[in-house]
Amino acid sequence: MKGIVFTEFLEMVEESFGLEILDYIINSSELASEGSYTAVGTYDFFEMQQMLVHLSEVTKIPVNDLIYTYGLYFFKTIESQHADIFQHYTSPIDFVSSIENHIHVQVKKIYPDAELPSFKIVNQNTQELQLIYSSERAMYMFAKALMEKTFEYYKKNVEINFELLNNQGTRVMFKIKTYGDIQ
Amino acid sequence: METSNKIEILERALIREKNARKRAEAILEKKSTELYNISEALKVSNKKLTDLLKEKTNELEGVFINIVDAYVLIDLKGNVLKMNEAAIHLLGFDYRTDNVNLLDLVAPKYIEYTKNAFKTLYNEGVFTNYQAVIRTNNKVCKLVQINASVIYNPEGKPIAAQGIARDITEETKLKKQHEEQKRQLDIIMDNSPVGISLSTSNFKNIILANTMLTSILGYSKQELGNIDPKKLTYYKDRKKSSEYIDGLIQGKINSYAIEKRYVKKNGELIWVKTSASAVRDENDKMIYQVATVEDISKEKAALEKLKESENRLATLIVNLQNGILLEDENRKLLLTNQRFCKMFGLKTNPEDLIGLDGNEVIDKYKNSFTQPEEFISKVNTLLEHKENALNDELFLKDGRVLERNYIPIYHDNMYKGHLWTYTDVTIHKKYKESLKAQKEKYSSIITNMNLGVLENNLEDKIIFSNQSFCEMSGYSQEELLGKKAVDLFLTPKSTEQYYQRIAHRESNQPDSYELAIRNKEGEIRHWLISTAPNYNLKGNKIGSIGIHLDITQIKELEKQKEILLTNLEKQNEQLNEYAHIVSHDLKSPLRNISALLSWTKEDFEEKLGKESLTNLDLMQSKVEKMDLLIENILKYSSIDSDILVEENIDLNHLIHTIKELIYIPKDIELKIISNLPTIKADKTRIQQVFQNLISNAANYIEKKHGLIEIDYSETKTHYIFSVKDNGVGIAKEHHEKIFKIFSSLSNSEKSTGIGLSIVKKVVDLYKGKVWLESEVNVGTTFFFSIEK
Repeated sequence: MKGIVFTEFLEMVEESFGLEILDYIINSSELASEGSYTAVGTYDFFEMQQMLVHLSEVTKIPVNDLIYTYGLYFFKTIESQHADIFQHYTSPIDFVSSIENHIHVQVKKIYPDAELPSFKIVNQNTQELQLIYSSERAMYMFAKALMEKTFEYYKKNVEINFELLNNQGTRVMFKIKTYGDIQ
Repeated sequence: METSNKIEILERALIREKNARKRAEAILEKKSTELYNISEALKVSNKKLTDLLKEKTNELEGVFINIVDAYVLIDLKGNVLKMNEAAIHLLGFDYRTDNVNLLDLVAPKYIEYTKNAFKTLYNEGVFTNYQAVIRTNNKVCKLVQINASVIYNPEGKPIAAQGIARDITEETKLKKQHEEQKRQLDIIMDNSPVGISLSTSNFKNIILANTMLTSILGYSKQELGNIDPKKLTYYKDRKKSSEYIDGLIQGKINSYAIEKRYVKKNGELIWVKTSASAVRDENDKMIYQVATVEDISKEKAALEKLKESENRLATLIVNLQNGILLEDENRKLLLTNQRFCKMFGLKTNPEDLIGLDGNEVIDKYKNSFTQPEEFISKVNTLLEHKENALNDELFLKDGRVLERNYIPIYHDNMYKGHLWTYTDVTIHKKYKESLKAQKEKYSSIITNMNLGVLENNLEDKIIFSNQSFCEMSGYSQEELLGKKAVDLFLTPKSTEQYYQRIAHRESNQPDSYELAIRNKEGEIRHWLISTAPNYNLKGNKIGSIGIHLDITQIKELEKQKEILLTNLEKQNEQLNEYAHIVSHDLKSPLRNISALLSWTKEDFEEKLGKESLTNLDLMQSKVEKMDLLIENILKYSSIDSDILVEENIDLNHLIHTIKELIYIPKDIELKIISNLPTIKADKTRIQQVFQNLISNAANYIEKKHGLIEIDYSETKTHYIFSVKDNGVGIAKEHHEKIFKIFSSLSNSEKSTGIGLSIVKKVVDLYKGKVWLESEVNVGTTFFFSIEK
């Protein structure tokens, strides 16, 4: 997993729960990196999992909610560091539907070893989009948060429902419906 | 949170940060080393590539200089920088010794073209197929073809141009020559009166077709190029055609000619003569097929017509009713027919005789003739003279008669042969002969018969009269011919009769009538004339024929007969009258005598002696007999056919009446055997017949027991009655006599001798007969018949 995910996660924990909690979850976890992350490095996802579990324990917030929250936080990083990609798309549905075939292709050029989730489109029109999320990481709530933020970025109202296609949450069906501009 | 704890946390965070930085630096250092290495590798390969390029450029230059074609390098103004040996040879100077600008070499005519070519070359980098005439250093004009390209410096700026030039003077000349030849060939092809085509070796395409072929087939040259040539051939001729084509392709034949039909573009068929030859390469493999196509539809049509007329003629000859022999000048048989073979009973086909020698053929049939040798010698004579001989009669052994014609045939005054024709004229001849005999027979009848015959034409003028007519009329034949019979013979009275008759007669119907005419001597004669229209063979009326019978004598006889009859009638009447008068006149004195005798007897009965009284009684009975006699004469004479009364008579009843009327002695029995019929007749007469026969029978019965039987039978036409007695009988010699008046066989007082005469007369009236069967002393049976 890319270092930036870890560095931004630590930033968010520090911002939201304080340095003490951050220190706690790092110390509680058995991390090969000893908690020292750099954005240009690459680390094991297992480290993220441990930190998330410990954070959930200490904060009493479910892991998925934490992931969702982290997704909302992480969108800011994308917005600030890769603002240009939004120019390529005229609508959030356009954007989201292009993740698999366009955005991830670009990502692969920069990080050839990146392991990315897949988004297979099932159905699409100007108002609705159905897609299936697949990833061993089961970070679908992270994806949901990012998608919501994207619609917000384009000032569009959206309702995103999802349905787990297996117990692990490695395959999830997303049903996205947009209705009108945000006033 | 405790400070110490806080510091610990911060220290840990700091350590993490330091570690993170160091890791980041390590990553960056590693990446920059990787980048340096890549850059070094790139430098090496760049150098390699540059070297390679240089090497190749040198090689290429060498090629240019060493190529066979002329190679010239010029600057952008046209000055020659470099050239190879070929270019030196072509242009006639050397760039190493002479300064030459290529533009100066161009012939004036091509300067403008060249300038434009330079512009194009400069702008586009290449110019191909530049062609112009140049004048070389040796003052020779040459046509050159140049392909040129621009050479650029590393910045991409054009710095020079290079070109490869070829001297195409000779090539162009040859090409022109070739074109001219092709043009000539095309002219020949297109003006050829026959269609010409060139096809591929597999005969799948027509590569070339001339104008004539297009006009024969109706397809344009382009269309012909797209058609499978095999399909042009009419499907019925395709098999034959493709056999030849296969032969060509397989190399079995080199050429062929065939007459066949093509299908034109408009669908019509056309007869052509196609002659095709294979064009082969040095390995004897066919590369083309050349074909000439000739329109032969007219010739074909003419040939068809000729054939048709030949066929017609042949059919005509075969079916001719004449036997035909056509021989050539050497007497070789050219033609004969079925009829000929049949005529002489030859059991061969006419075709089998063809080609035989005339004498050989004659041997086959000469024996049919009654005189074979004479026949042969006549044939030889005819052949010698070579002149038409028509209608020679030849007699066959079986009785047939043939007519032979010999017709020599000349063409351009050259004797080419001759034609024998035989016609069976047997029937014709027999018919003619029998006709002649018939005619003679009838002529002689007509001439010699007692009937006058006249033949008239449509104007009723006499065109023929026989001898009898001449005798009847008193006119000679010369006097009669051309005249009208009506003018010669009719009297004013008969003229009227004649024309009335004609007016009522239907035209063209035969008629018979009597006419009084005046003959040449002026005598009136009566003729019975039968006339009928006369027709020729075609059924058209050509006149009439009249038959005349002189009936003048018959007429006169008839007149005499009539007079006689009238006289007879008068005499009969007088006779009847006389009979009446006589009987009446005779009867009254008789009555007077009878009365006087009675008175005398009464007055002198006592004075007269017994003898005298007996005499007086005898006298009285003689008078009575005389009276009866007269009475019967009167009756007899009054039986006359004129006064017949017809009524229904029941004969049974009639016999009964008679029985009461006449006296029949008691010892005589009268019997009716069969019940008698009721007939239609005059009652009085029938009663006279039965009464006379019955009383006759009664009178002549002398036997003790007399029997009279009346019987009857009938035939289809007559009733037959019989009256039988058992009296004295009549001897055979008297059987005829008894029916004559006044003949009586006995001296009976009652017999007058008239009774049977009356019977006969009445039966005659009813168209019957009277006869008898009798045996003396046994009895007599009288029969009589009466028509129904």
